[in-house]
Amino acid sequence: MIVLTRVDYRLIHGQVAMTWTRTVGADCILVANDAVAASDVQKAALRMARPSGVKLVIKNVDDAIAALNSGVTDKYKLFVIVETIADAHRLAMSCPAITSINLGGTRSTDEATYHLSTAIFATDADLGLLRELAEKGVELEIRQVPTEQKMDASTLI
Amino acid sequence: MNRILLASHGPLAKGMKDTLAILAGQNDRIETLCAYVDDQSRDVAKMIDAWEAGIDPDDWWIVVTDVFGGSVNNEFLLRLSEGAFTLVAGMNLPLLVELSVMLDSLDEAALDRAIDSCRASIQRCTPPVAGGDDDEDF
Repeated sequence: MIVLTRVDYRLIHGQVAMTWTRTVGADCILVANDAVAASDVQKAALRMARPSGVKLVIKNVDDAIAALNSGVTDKYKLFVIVETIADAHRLAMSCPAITSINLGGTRSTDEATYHLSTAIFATDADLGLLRELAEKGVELEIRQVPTEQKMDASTLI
Repeated sequence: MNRILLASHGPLAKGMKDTLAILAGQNDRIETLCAYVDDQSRDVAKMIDAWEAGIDPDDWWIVVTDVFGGSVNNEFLLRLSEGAFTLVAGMNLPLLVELSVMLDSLDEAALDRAIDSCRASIQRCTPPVAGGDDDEDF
């Protein structure tokens, strides 16, 4: 069962490792990211950031989709983390089990001219992807930490 | 209700609360006492008396001080037998994130477990080594 799907460009860091994992009661984290899955050093660094007592699986996005749709993840309380809105879109368009996406943080770049919240920056393309997800009925909620009020991103795009 | 008081020499308690808010969100059940930051905060005993006079006896207060043996902790220690609060020395961020996240359900046993697990979080770091661990799969 997926307990949370989060977009966070920092992947596993303080808010994720210490606060979210505990609050949603996850026993397994899936990081779905093409670059990290292809880099042994990045994988090793993420393993060091893994919260204790939680399993960590790192896959590229295609393999993550296959795993989520195969049923092998059903026995876990799974916390899925992706780096970008584009990766979240890839995942959610192919995995019916993803019904909600938490927007935690995206990278502030020159192209990301839409500032949806303190930590969410989006490009034109991102907005289009978010609209598609909203039309599909996927909840899009902005929160950096669990105690914040959910902000509905679909009203901002 | 469970509440936390962060108490320190200087502004550490206030800074810790601000940093904690980044990781675990704002929490109005966490308060701070910063001693020796100005003329009004040189008398630690008086500051603690004023704080104690305002607390609700139905609340469980966990006081977390910056260092065991320091004047701030010593002043709390003198009042500990009154049973108005629980005292923890050795303020650190992992401990406070843990306490903050489970503040509603916190009890004595959970507090002791949190102290044990935060102790293990202090560690000398080594560079990430590629292929050092077997990749986990589902």
